[in-house]
Amino acid sequence: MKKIITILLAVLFSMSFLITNACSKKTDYTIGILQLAEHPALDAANEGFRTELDKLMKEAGKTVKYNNKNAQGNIDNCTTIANTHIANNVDLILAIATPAAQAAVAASNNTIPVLFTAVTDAVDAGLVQSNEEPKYKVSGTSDLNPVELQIKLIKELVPNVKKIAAIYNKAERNSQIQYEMAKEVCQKEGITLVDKAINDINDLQITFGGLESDIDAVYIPTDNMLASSSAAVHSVNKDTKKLPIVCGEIGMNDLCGVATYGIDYYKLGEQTARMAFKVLVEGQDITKMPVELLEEYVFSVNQTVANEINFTIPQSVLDRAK
Amino acid sequence: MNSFLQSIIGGANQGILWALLALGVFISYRILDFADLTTEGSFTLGGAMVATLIASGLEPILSTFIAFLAGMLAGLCTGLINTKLKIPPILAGILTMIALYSINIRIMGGSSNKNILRFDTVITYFQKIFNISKLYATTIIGVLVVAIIIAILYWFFGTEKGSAIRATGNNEKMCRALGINTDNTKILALMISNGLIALSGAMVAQQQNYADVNMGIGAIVIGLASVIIGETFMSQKFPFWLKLTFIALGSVLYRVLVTIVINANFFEASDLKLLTAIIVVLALALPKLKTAYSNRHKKCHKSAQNFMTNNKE
Repeated sequence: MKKIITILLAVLFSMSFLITNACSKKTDYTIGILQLAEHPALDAANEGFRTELDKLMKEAGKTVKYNNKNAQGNIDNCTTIANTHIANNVDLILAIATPAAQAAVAASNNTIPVLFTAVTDAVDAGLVQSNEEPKYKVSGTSDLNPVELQIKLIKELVPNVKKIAAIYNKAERNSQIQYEMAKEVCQKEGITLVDKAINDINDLQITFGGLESDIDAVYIPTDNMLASSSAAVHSVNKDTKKLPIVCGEIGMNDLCGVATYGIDYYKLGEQTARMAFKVLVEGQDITKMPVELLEEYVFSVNQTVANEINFTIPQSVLDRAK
Repeated sequence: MNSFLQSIIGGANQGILWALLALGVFISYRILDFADLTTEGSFTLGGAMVATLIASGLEPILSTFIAFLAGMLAGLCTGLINTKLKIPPILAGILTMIALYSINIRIMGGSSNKNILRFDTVITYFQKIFNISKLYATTIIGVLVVAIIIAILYWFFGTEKGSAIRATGNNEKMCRALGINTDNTKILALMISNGLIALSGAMVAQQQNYADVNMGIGAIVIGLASVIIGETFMSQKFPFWLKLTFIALGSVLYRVLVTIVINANFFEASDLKLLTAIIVVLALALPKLKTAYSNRHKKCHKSAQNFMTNNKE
């Protein structure tokens, strides 16, 4: 029995070498996609990537296949999926969201190039040496939202703003990074930023209800937990404090914010696809590819929410949205 | 096919590290008969501890051992809440679990995610010593650690203390009547169980090169599923060490099944959880089906015997 197993394994391994050596000039590519969870923003990035890369490959007369997997928010599944992609010998892994990218980088171990998207701070996550030069076979696009622009927008909305409350989930590293950035901007602008982190969406009512009366506005970064309960945020706000909220992204703004500059995740995915094309077809060195930020931000105003909380959006802001 | 096999090997290799979790769950659920939900917290605690210590420059093997001790502390907490404050097992576990959520973020320096991507780990040690790939290194170290743990558990549950734990799980009132301090045996068992679970978390964090506050989500389901799958294939006549080995194999098999589901291209990505649930239900139902089958078999056998004896007359 043992002998048979050894022989079988030996045959299989030799077969694997034959198969990998049989590849020659490439015209068709396989891309392993690893997405952390089902989430509108992450789904949009995934779709944008595939649509744009399909187009680019078609123009170049090449074909591309996708092995599209979702970890359902479970980190152990991220590792399993990453290993599966490596085993299937994909040409490139696209990892969507930070834990997915970390799992992909650990599994690839610098063998297969990894592109990430929807990662806020790639250096902090240990994915790249620096944003200018990754040093490893890892690069991608960051979904860092324009925190500075957003805080300045609050100043424009509420001209004599003194105190802003930041509401975000303590358990999300991305939100924490944005909170720290917002704090820095606020200090420069002479505004106090109050940390109102929550652990659980059930704390929302208590946190909102307990906001001090001298708070002029609320800032919510691109937080997964709050993004998925933006509607609840608005209903709590409408019933209690009626404060103007500026969110980290457009999707949240549509439900609970008055205005914001935001990231279009579909466009972020498209941008990542252009990087993938450079790596795969043009043969650019991924280890020297800087991590990219989104090229252009979208600006959006939400008159419905503003009316419901009896907030008047200044004319200068309304003009910009046209 | 060959790439499919490779990903199965990758899955099995992950399963070996999760086997320690399955052993921990086996001790609390089966041996002590204590539904311990500390698992999700203590698993993350092991990961958070090891990632923070390694990132601060401590030696990986020592860091892993400290993570194990931290898990024991979590078990001690649950044990004390249950025995001294008389809070029911389920609630005691949940209380420690939610407390650990905040503690784990504190441990990781106020962050929810700590990466050790460019640091030496127990796994890179082995890679360097034997000059082998990460996959082989993980397999070797996983099998080694699991084997050592099984040997220690086999020895321990044969000693007086270990036997007292087994007896407590079987019949607590009787044990107290015999003069065993069941409070102490419970606390000890929970400490060992959660120590192993944290050790599992520490190994997994070193394999994936980061710890995340959410890494314990679903750990309890994975642990239980592994135990149930392992038990499906074992008989009650097995010696204790072989039972433990089957629990470890159950964990490997569970991970392999998940890998197959992930690999299967005719499933949508979102079907994963449903399929996982189906796997667990099937594993749970198997023993029932087995006994139903063997009972029918016995009945047939009996009626055949009756038929034979009746015909003899």
